[in-house]
Formats: sequence, C-alpha cells, structure tokens
Amino acid sequence: MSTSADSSRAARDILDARDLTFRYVRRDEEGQVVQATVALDGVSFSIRAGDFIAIIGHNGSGKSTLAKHLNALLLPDQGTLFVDGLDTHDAAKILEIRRTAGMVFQNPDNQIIGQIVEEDVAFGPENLGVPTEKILTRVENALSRVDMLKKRHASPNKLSGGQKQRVSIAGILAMKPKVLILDEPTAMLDPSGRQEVLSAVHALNRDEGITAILITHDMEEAADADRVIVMDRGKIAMTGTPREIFSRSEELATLGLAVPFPTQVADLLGKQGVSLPGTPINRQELVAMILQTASAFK
Amino acid sequence: MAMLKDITLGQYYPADSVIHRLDPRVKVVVTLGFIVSLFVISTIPGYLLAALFLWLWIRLSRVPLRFMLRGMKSVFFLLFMTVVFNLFLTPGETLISWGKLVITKEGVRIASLMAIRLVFLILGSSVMTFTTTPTRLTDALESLMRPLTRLHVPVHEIAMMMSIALRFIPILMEETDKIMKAQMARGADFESGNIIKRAKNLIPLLVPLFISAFRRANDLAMAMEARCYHGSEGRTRMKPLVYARRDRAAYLLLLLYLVLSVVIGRDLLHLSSLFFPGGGV
Repeated sequence: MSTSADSSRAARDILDARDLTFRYVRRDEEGQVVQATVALDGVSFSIRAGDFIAIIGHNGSGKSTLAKHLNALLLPDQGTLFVDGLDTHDAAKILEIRRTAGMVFQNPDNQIIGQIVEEDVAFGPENLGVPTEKILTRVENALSRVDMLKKRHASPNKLSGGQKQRVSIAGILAMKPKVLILDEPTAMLDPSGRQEVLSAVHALNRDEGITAILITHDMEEAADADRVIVMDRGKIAMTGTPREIFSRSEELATLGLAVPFPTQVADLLGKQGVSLPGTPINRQELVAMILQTASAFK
Repeated sequence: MAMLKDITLGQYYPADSVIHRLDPRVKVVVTLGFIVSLFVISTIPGYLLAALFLWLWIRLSRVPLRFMLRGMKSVFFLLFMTVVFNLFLTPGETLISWGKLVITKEGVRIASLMAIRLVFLILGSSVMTFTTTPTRLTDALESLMRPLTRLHVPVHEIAMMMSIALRFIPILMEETDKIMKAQMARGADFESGNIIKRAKNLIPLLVPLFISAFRRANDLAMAMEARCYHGSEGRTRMKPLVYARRDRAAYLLLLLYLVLSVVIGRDLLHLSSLFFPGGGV
C-alpha cells in the first residue's frame, strides 16, 4: 500500500494508482446532469509484479469499476493510474496498456468473438497486427497453457462454462500480458468449472509470474491470494494478507462481507469455548488445527 | 424449440474435397458466374453445357446428391407455382385446351426453362453453402468487397457484424427458448388464437429478448475493446485468404465455361439447327 512517486518503486510496481476518482453520470436529453454516482473515491494502491491480488466487496462497492480502470476501459475523472509505467490517460498508449493488462469478464458467452476456439484466441493478436506466421504459434501456446489445445477446432457453443472461460483466458494470454484482470470470472460457473478456471489462473501466476487481479464474491477464492483489497463505497476499506483480513471478521461484517467458511467454523468453535491455535483460512488449515487441538485434549 | 441450437447454420457439410479446399472467394465468384450464365443461356445445347458444369461442380464437392435435394424441398412450392403460372398464362400457339385453360407451346417452353433455371440455380449455389463454413464465407465477402472501401462502404465493419451475428444466433436461440419457457410458466400462450393475436402474444417474448441482446452487445463491445479491437486498421489475420494453384485453375475453368455458355447458349454457331432443323427452339 503506497502512494509514493519514488521512481525505483514505480519500476517495480506493475500497477500504481494514485487518488483515483470516478463518477457515473447520468444526463437528460439537454445534457444536464440528472444523477451522479461516485464509484471510486480517492483510491490509491500499488501492486508488485507477480502478485496474486483478490479484490472483494459487496455489490456496488466499486470493484468492477476499478477493474475497468486497470485496462483503460474507463479513465479516472481525477487521479492517475500507471500500468507498467504507462499512464492510462495517454491515448497513444492505450493499445499497449490493454495488451499489458488483459481482462477476462464474467459472462463467458459475451466475450467470445470467434466461431471456432482458435479463431477467437487469435482475435487479440490480429488486432495488435502480429504477423500472420506468428499468430498460430501464439494461439497454440496460449491454448496449451490453459489445457484447451485439443478443443482448438471446436465451436465455443459446444464448450462447458469452465472451458469457455479458459478459452477467454487463452485469448488474453495470446496478447502476452503481464497482468491478468479477472472480473468475477467464476460467478456463472458450476463448482467444477470454478476449480478449472482458478487452478489455471493460479498456475499462470505461480509458474509464469503473471500478476493476477481477481475480483470475486467468493471468500474462499480470495483466501488463496497473496493480498486482499476490500472495497467499500468506492474506497479501499481494508488491505492485507488474507489471514490479516479474515481475522477481522467483525469489521468485515459491518461491510456486509462474511469470512471464508473454515474461518466461520473456527469462530463458532471459539464461541463454544474451543479456541484453535490460529485463524484458518482454508480447509486444510482448519482440519490441521482441529486435529492439533483435539490431540491436546487427550 | 429445444432443438433450435442444433441447427447448423449455412448447412455446412464437412467433407474433404477439392471444392471444400477451394478458396471461398473462388466459390463465390463461380456461383455468381454460374447464376449469370443461366440467364444468358437460351438454347438446349447451352443447358446441356450448364448441366455438365453443374454435375462436375456437385461431383467434385462430394456432397451426396440427396443432401442437395433435401434443400430443394423448401423451394418446391415456389417452383411449382412458377411452372403452373407460366404454363397456363403464356399467350401463343395453342397446344392443349381444356375449357378455359389453355396450354400453349410457348407456355411449355417458358415453364420448362424457368424450372430448369431455378433448379440449377439452387443446386449451384447450395454447393457453395455446403462446402464453405460461414466464417470463410464472410472472409470471402470482406475480401471481394474490399474495392468498395474506396467508396466509403464500411466493408470490414459489415463483415465483422455478419460474423458476430452468426456467432450469436445459436446463443440468442437458446435464450429465446429459455424466455419462452419462463413466460409459459407464468401463463403466457404462444400457440392459440389467430395470427394477429399470436403476433401480439409474442411481445412478452420479444421485449426481454431485445433487452438481453442489447446487454450482450454492450458486454461484447467492451470485451472487444479490452482485446485491443480498433477497426480494420493495422489488423492482421491468422489465416489470410491466399490463392493456390487450384484456385487459379478454377478461375480458368469458369472463364472457359462462361465463354462457351455465351457461344453455345446464345447460339452464335447456329448449333440448334442440328437439333431442330425447322429452326430455333
């Protein structure tokens, strides 16, 4: 969490937001402002290359608006945002910014453009003017990284939700991004589809060092991140490691958020007088702590 | 309705044939050339030539003839009406009269000509749709219409819209199905009443469908922008259309056929005298 303009720091930080403010403005026919909603209100943060960040917050907290700023789909009314050192206000750099910070959306059907999987993955490189002879290698490479190479000639309509989202991720990977922004990519998927998509994203982050920004409603997804940013009414309400965030369950509750299920279990056990040795944020930790506590009882 | 999404658009028939491998632009041009030739030809040897060309076109495509004929079913009524009207309503030398109904010699001639033209036209163009995927067809149209960009026709945009439309037809079909079931569960009735009543009953189907289509369009536009789409400028293709030897050979064959169809079809060599020594058809 830093707003410092220190240049050595800016070089390390792949995303650097300073005091972002954004309003959704509704106008009537004469152009008069009817209603203005503040979606982002002085948001500042910086994210190191290679981190896995989860952004959580209830509906309307501004997390999707923030995501759209990260690849210059929206420009801040005030403040500046640097993506890998590029100012999103710079119209000449907009393609480079979008290439650097690729975005995957919620609805898999509404972001697949091609009628065949490989055609869709090629859409980004084609737009960037990548030479023809290099596009096919990029497409094959991107599809194999999300384990979808064998479906390359399939129609997107014949794929499952999880497969469609993996194709969408491949479409971004084919542009060789440094940051992957995922705006609730699992919200419309079944549990197995969710798992497919998340493990693909985690593998890309872990093995290739691609920075991942996961916007999510699911606290258990957020628990697997390196750092969690909690948004509330356009501001950053909390930030820290998942353990730091989820050990403040009362504070989260006032923001309309729950803690992951394993943490809830630990809280309930605590109320029953069984205190665990720490705050478990995932199932494995919970099981380990319960076993540890149980053996101490004997 | 549940089967709607299984409809294959453009009735593509997957097979491995010379025609399938031809550049889609060649197929479009050949189809157009063939259609034009049908309206140029007016002699029997000319039709024999067209029939030969069509036979070759179909055989090489390796699409079973019964598939082609199945496509004819939908136009059978049109064909039938054309024949009947031409048969009875053409004035001329009486062949058979049946009270007020008169079949003339000219009537028979024109009716059979029209029938042959229509059948050939449909078969000839269905070879193109059977052997070319909609994507390749859009690519071909974009490429063939490119000269129009100089007249400020947004060719790339039109082609992009066509391919997006093709991509979304199955999705919107599925959505229609879902909305229909949802409205039926609320007591909507899409099946009874006269045609006006039924059209009115479609409103609770169309309104949500349109709203959802606009929402999808909005999402898609954003996703395209996020993937650096900025029109045709500086855009490359993964699989650009490139003419091969067989494409050039096909163009040559088409040219040969067109010349022959004018020479024979317009009877420039007076070949019909061999068939009808009396003179003319």
